[in-house]
Amino acid sequence: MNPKTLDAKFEAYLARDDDALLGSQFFETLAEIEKRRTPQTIEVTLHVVEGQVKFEPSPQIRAQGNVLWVGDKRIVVQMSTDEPRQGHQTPIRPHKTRDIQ
Amino acid sequence: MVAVELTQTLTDAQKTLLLRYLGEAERFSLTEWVTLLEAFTMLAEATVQLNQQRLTFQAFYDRFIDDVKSDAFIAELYAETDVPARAPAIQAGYAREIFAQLCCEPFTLGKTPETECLLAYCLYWWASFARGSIFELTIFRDMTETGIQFTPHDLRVRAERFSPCDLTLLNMTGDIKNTTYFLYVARSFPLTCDFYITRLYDVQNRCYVRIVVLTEPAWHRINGETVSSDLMQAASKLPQVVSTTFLEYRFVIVEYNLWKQKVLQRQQLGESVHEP
Repeated sequence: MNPKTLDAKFEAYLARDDDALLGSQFFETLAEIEKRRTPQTIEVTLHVVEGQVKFEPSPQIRAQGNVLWVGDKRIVVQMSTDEPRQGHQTPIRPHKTRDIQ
Repeated sequence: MVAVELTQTLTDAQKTLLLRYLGEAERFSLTEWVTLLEAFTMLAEATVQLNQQRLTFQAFYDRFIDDVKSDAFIAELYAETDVPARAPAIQAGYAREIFAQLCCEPFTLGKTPETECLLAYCLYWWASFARGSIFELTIFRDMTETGIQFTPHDLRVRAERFSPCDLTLLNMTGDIKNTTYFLYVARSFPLTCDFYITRLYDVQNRCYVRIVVLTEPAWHRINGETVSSDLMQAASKLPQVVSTTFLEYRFVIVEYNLWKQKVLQRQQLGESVHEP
């Protein structure tokens, strides 16, 4: 970046007070934080056509064929008629709630 | 020049806000502010390659800014008799030093979008630390002048700056947080102290109004009537004492001066000061 542009940005940063939130803005921001912490429910429909799974397109979530994208995760759903294997479970790591992209 | 690797899960929207932060954060919507706070949290784990060393952004900030500047800054604040009047100039002076240092060799931050994110990260945390320390010292001095008995942590002692609470009184733990840092911390709910002193801006009178956010049990210790409100309407109910819910926890919000009166009354009735 041009040094002059960067200097101008820095001067803008120095000149303002990010803390100057009005009461209404403060509480609305808390409400927004609360909203993002609340788990979001998205329903998806899965079709099984000739042994292949296929998600129905949805405006709420990116889906294509048997793949869903949730945050930074790409979830590939496979169908099997076999019994579930014993002693093997995909570990689930706790993570922060993130918005669906 | 350093090589920066941003957190992979950072979204395009978050990157855009990080690059806009220095120059135009005053134009951010509230939603964008919350997204920006999320981005700064995620950036702590981003890395910077410096010579043969790879540091996280947080380690970079600690080594080159916090370790070098914070003690001297705090000492200058304590030397001032009128902290609110003098502190902004002191804060800006240090920010200029930091900006000059980070834009020069060996760092030369700001020449690429990735290094500008590191620059934004450092300046954001410097402003947060500086504003928080100024506010905290101002409150400590005000409470002392009012005659409230309390045990503060000592900002001049580095280890105490990272203590889980800033003060104790009436066997309750309290924290003093400037507005944006309170919002940053509120994202990591549940809050861990009994009460939080923070501030809101009064645009008509062009000044800050201090408030105290208490847990319900902490409010019951000093007692008084409240009016219930949801979060979105809480501001319109002030200066009444407002009871509201955040993430399913009940909180009470009271103006700082009223809270001080009630604490003083309670202490004069004979409740002891907690000595940790």
